[in-house]
Amino acid sequence: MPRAIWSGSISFGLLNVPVKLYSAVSRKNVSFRELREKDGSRIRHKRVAEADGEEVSYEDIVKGYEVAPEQYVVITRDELEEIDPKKTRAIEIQDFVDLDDIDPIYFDHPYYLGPDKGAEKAYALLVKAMGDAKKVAVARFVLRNREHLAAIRPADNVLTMATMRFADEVVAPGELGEDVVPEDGRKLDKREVDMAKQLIDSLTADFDPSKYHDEYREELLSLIDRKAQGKSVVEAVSEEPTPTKAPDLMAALEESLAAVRGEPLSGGDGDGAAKKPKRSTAKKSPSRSKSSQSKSRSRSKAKAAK
Amino acid sequence: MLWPEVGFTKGEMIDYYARIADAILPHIRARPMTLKRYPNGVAEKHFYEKRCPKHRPDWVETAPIWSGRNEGEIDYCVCDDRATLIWMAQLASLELHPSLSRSKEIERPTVLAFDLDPGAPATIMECCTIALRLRELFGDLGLESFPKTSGSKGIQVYVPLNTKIAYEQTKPFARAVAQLLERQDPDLVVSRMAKNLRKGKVLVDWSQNDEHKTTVSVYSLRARERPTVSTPVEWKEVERALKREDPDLLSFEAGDVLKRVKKSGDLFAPVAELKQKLPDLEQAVR
Repeated sequence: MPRAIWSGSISFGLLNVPVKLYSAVSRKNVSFRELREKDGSRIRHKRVAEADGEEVSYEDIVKGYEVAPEQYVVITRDELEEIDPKKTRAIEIQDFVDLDDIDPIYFDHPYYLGPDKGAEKAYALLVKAMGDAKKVAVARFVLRNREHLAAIRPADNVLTMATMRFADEVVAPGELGEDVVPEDGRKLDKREVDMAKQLIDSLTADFDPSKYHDEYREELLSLIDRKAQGKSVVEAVSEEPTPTKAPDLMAALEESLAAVRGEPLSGGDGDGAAKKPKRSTAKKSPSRSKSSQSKSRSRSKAKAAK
Repeated sequence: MLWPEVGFTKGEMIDYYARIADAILPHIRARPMTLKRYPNGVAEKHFYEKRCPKHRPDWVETAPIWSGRNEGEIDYCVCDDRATLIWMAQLASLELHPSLSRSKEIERPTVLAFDLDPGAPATIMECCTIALRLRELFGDLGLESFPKTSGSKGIQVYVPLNTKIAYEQTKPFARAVAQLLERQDPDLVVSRMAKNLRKGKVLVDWSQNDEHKTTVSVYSLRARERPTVSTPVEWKEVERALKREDPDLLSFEAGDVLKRVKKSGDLFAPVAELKQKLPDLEQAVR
């Protein structure tokens, strides 16, 4: 049985339906703890004052709003509490609207509303009436000191409620400027439009959310799993690209050089034995180095030309 | 006073960048720049600045580059002209670290770069030996390479590409080269970063061939005790320094570098222009 995160009642007109609120999202984010590399000690964060590096306790912290660079208006906890929205327990329905009237861009976080004890019948009545009317209720309510707008609608025999963004929080496309939103009136070739439509038709399918997975998360979890089981994971999330490829590349480089230099490759024997460069560059006279270099260069060019 | 030990001032630093501009600009132009700033001189704290300062003049060009770590774009400074260079200098950006690619094609490096870093007691002398081996190796592949001092302890070898290639190719290639050098002479060469492996050896650092990394620019000053400069040199100078066992032959300060450029021009000019192609090793494996 999932835990309710809030309880209150839906109210409109004379009707009052006690309900409980449940989250409709189970977060699947993979979260990590910070550890010290050498011994795995957990990392603790401390709040310190920039002025002298001293730790500051929670009670001694106030909130400052930066009105100009480095200039703050300080707001105390008491002052904040005073203007908190009244902790009403009501989900007050303001209007009933058509679902299609709400642009999905307004939806924020989804919840379920379930009946509180003894309210099962009133709840079922509300679900049925809203379902028949095919309407969505727009409501206001207060959750965790914040006033929210929400859209309530029935889904089968349960009510869902999505918190919504206020109109002034949503960025209108026009505010993004011309770089983002091209001007109208561009001449479009009808044939090209038709072709684009055809392409869309050919990719049209019914929406099946289970088709899409968070592949990054799956990979990350399987990496953690493998490591946890003690299977060696080589430089898994290291910055170095494709670590397994590098030794092959080195061999390929060695091979290319041997071919250019006309040296036989010292095959598999004496694996790992250090091969000193044939001629120590240090002792070479500049003139000789120059001739050997230009010779080998022309040789490689000849090879490239083939 | 930015270099207090030797009395080199901020004014002198700005004067150096103003006068080296023609030589350095072709190598940093159109590239996102990371500024290494020392507001209180080389002996005090420094910080790296990737995000171009907000208070920049409006004629300073910037380039937005996606940063995975910040999940957003960072506006890097781009230095296309003398005025921007001088502006950067007056921010006490002693060291200029450009990307190996231009901001328009951030995934395409224009060079392959190796940073040869000696672990004591090894010195720049051992770096010379390895630099010359790199030159020979690339020579055998038909590719020209160009050395510069790091301005610090080591040498850097650049292989100009200026052709279509991605870090996905250059980084594994550079790594293969470093590993081969290490295998051929494990007493002198190490290809892995760990500091404890480096003692008495030369780290052939291949890892800077990366979209998210930068390498100190040629002609950039370094925040060392003296105002040394990452200086392009000729291969014969590397050979001579090694033969005479004289590291001072590969140490140049701001004044020396201005004289060198006046006398012999920009030795690194081909790095910005020469088009070369890396051989396709993966093809060779098949």
